[in-house]
Amino acid sequence: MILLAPVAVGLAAVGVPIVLMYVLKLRRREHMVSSTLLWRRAIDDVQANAPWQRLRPNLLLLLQLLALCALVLALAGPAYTHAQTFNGDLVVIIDESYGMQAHDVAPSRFAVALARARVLAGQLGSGNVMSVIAMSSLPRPVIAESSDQAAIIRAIDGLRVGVTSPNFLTALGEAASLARSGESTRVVVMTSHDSGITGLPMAVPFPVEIDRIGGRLRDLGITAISAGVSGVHTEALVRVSNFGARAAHSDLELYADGQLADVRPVDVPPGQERNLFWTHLPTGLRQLRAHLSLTDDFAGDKTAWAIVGSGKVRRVLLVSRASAAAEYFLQTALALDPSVRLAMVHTSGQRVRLLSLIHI
Amino acid sequence: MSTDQEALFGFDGAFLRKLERLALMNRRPLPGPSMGPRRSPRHGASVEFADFRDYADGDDFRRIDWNAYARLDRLFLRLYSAEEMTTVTIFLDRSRSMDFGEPSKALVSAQLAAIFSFIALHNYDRVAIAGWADKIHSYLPAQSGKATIPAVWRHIAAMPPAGKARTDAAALYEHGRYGHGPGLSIVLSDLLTDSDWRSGLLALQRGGSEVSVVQVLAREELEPDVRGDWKLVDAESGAEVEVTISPRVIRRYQEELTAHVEAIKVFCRRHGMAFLQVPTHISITDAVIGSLRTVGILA
Repeated sequence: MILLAPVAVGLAAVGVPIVLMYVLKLRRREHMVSSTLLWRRAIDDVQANAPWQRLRPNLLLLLQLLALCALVLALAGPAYTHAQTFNGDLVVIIDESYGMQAHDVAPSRFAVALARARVLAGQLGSGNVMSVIAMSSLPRPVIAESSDQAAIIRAIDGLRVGVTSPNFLTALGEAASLARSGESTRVVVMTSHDSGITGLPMAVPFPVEIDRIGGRLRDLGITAISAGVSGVHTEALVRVSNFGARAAHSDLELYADGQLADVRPVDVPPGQERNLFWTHLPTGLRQLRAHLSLTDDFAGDKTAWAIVGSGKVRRVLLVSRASAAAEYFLQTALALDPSVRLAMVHTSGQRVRLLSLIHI
Repeated sequence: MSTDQEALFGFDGAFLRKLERLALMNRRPLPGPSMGPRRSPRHGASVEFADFRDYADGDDFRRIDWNAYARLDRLFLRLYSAEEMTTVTIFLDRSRSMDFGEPSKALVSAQLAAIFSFIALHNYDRVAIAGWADKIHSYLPAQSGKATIPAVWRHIAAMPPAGKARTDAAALYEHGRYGHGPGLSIVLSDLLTDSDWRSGLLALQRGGSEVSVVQVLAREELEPDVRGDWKLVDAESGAEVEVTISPRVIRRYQEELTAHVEAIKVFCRRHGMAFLQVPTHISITDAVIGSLRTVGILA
């Protein structure tokens, strides 16, 4: 038997103060006596003014503890499991898209998916192989047809959650290509509860289990921010969307060049969005930052930045000897500024001093 | 004694006739204010010889023992015991703790006071009644003569309780300290007090009284039958004691009760006082009278 929400077992600790209340404080009836003189002396050494009493059978206490046990069990979600002795290959598709960042389950949906994938790796039968596909907007296999459990687990542990959307169709195609002919193959998809993946977009010759992790989200996030100059003022737009199932309220803080410029309350019904405008921000600003003070199941969409376009074109020369990946990120970041005209020079095989000859 | 008076304390004629044959016992001669049936330490003119002493100037020639002078050639004076009337003061505890018991300790104490006063007045003694708690709340000055028995009984029966006052032996101390002369003092109380009852009793004795202590206790004090979790409230002080009454606590209570009673007994024995414990649930007529004779309060 396993517990689906083992954290709820912590509620059982409430039983301790309940019992303490019975030990420390007994409900006593009053009884008038002619004198308490001898009673005081009698209990002086028996009880020694102890603040506790001996715990004796008490029906009310028993009922309260039973009620607590029932509550804890209900919240913990006990479930029976049985070892799945699936005799065949396994392809695990792990969603590493943005929705897996939610931490409505502890520690996060993505961490839970990795843990379950590790369990599956541990159950792999001899003679069978396992493949793992990381599902982002560009799904890719991170380990293919391996029977080495240690290597599989290392590959699983190497996955990182991203900010893209899941591309289930491509991932399923990858899985189909990894299924060995003549062998029984099972595909397990670990995705977030609200990823939109509920059925199969294509027919496949193997069983597919979709493991949707998490529950109903609480997510109010900034989905757009832009800024520009209009006349002598700077204008800004921030869009706040509620992806959760309940109405959400937060304060939105706007920082201009690091200084708090404005705070506005924002209420957004579930599934809707709100646009907030600023039309009289000072001119000459370089950067705006918007921040939602709310804490919910997503932390990654609470802050957004915008570069204020000045209207002037700036030419930037990117001189790089770094790796292609680092160059790619720099290039992408600079491209976000509409006023930048980017030129690139690779220094491999040339001396850096030649740069002085380049006219910007 | 009229039927009405007998009904005050539930005594019948046969019981009163028994009482007429009893007397309060004094363990040493007591000087009294007037002539009566008791021996006095003062030597007087009765026929009971007490002692000799040397003649001194001014002595009554008539009391010189001339036979002794003839034999010894010295003048001796013959001394005789005086027969005197003594005062019996009954101290009746009227604090709130006396309202407990079935019958109440207050009622049993009043019955005992009625018995003592009846015996005393029947034997030509004087009887004073003092109701006390934290002080002497009511006081009936000494009465004498059988004819005053109904009035004394009515006073005892109508004696008001002392309200919320706590038992405080300082009341006895104050009474004894000012000295009301020699006599018998009978203290009727539960003595469930943490006040200095020893000083109170000693003060009465030093004031010239022969002291007898009758401790009246209810069955619930001797054998508590409560069990479980209780907040015990002191009827006099209002003090609260939270206690889980288990057999072990009951045993400790009875040990404390025994120690408390034993302390009173030892104190009384050491100072020549009579002591008797009277439970309220036993028959006062025969059992108590027998015990009072045994401990030397009644003769």
